[in-house]
Amino acid sequence: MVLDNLEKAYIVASMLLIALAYYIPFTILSGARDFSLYLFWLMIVVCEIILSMIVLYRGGNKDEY
Amino acid sequence: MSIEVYIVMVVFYFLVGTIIALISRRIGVKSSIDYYVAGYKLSGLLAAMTYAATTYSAFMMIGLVGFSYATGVGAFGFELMYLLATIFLLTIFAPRVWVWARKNKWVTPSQMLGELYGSRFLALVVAVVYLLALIPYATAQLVGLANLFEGLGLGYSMGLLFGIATVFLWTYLAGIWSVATTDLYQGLWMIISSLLFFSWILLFLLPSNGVDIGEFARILGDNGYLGITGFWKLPVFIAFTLPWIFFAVTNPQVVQRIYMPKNKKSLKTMILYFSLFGLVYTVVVTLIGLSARVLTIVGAFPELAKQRDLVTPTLISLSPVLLGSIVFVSIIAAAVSTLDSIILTLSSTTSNDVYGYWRKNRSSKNMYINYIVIVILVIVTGSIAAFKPGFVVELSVLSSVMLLPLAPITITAWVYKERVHGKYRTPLVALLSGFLISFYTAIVLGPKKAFITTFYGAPVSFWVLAVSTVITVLGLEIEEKFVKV
Repeated sequence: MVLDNLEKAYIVASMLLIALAYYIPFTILSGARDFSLYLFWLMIVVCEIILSMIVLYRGGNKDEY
Repeated sequence: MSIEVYIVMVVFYFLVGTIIALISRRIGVKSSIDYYVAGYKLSGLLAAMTYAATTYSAFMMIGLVGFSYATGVGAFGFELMYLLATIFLLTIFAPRVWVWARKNKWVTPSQMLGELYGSRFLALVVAVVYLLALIPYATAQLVGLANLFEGLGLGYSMGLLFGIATVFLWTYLAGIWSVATTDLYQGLWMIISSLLFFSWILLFLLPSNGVDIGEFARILGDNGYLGITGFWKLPVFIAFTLPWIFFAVTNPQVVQRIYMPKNKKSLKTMILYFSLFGLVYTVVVTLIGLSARVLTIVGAFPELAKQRDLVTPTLISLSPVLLGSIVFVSIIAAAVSTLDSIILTLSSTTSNDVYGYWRKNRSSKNMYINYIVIVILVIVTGSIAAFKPGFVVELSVLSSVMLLPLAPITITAWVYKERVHGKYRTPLVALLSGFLISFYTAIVLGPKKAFITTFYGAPVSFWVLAVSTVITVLGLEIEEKFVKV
């Protein structure tokens, strides 16, 4: 499977987001008393959706992989 | 009066769905490819909604509401980890798998793995694992649906018959066309009703008990529900999230849906709309659970932490009867849409890769076997649900763990597509090892305990994934060096 540079960057960014989604809630935000933890997880997924759409809807549709 | 409204709403839901399924027959199903993967011609909206309705079961409005109520914001994180990983996996793999599926005329995920590794026997084994893992899961949906009817006073048997009849009819009529079109209808019902329900809680139920938005956050924060509660220790969070992170590549009913969009644009639409559906539905459902917790804290709602599956039914009983009946039907819709998709997918893998293993030259235009397998699967799940054997129903908790060994096998086959052909021994060993670990712990500890028990600090799901991954990586190296293909 061949990945282009944008996809490689996307994989790195997504791995980072997934790691943060595990790490931050159990360390920095574990004792949250407001909606910061809720919003943190929400923002992580919103970021992932935006990044995914950038990768999927970028110029040119590859038909062959 | 209220029970009549509920019955009318259920009948309305059934009639509209059946009309939609009947109309979908006009598309004309002529082969297994039409019947199971829509001839690779599904629009983006249909593909997205059938993906969402298949994924999101009655667990959301019953289980996740109760989970959020009992364990706080951690339940939101657990469900979002699934969505986060699924969006990532779909973005990287779906465009490629979509191309390969139509080039190779793949109908089932087991067929896909069999062809990538070059072994029909592997396809057979994978199809059998699907059956063993997903029949308990399908049965649990049916049991949940029948329980809803029982709770309403309509009787367990009536609920069971309703579920069996609906699933059979909406699956049998036009295969994936009737499933996908009714999934669109049911998905809309699920998301709209959840929004209406939460709006009623936010605008009427909470204020009528003296809770405004600021008070809502303060009460939850002061009582520790906005942080990580004692339930969500890291190993528990990993035990819950790990099987779901790989759901998009291990569960055949969703992998098969990657094959179906009619073009690249539809595939992208599928991923985008599914992502938005999942995000909105998860936010709304968890906020409903947290709202119920606030009401309990202010003394306006019973304490149900030990019976958390009763949170939604209790909230429904407090709501206006029309709204309650709409939400009630949305839970039925969530169960039916998940169940009929699983039945159809299991029918495809059983007829294509189990029956097809012995009948190698079976024509895809011979549809009778597809119909017969659907009838058998509906009878089997219906019979199990009727007798409710505890172990089988509990085993549904472990279905995703049992399918977890498929994650390294599938991802490796996709990433190293050209290199794995002929190396079928490795995925066989990896799959059976992982499957047997999960099945063995289920028998020894009981499925529910097996799910969260840790060994050397890590849950069973971790060990299943670790063992199958190590075997996959090392096995392929060994096969490449020492086994002539």
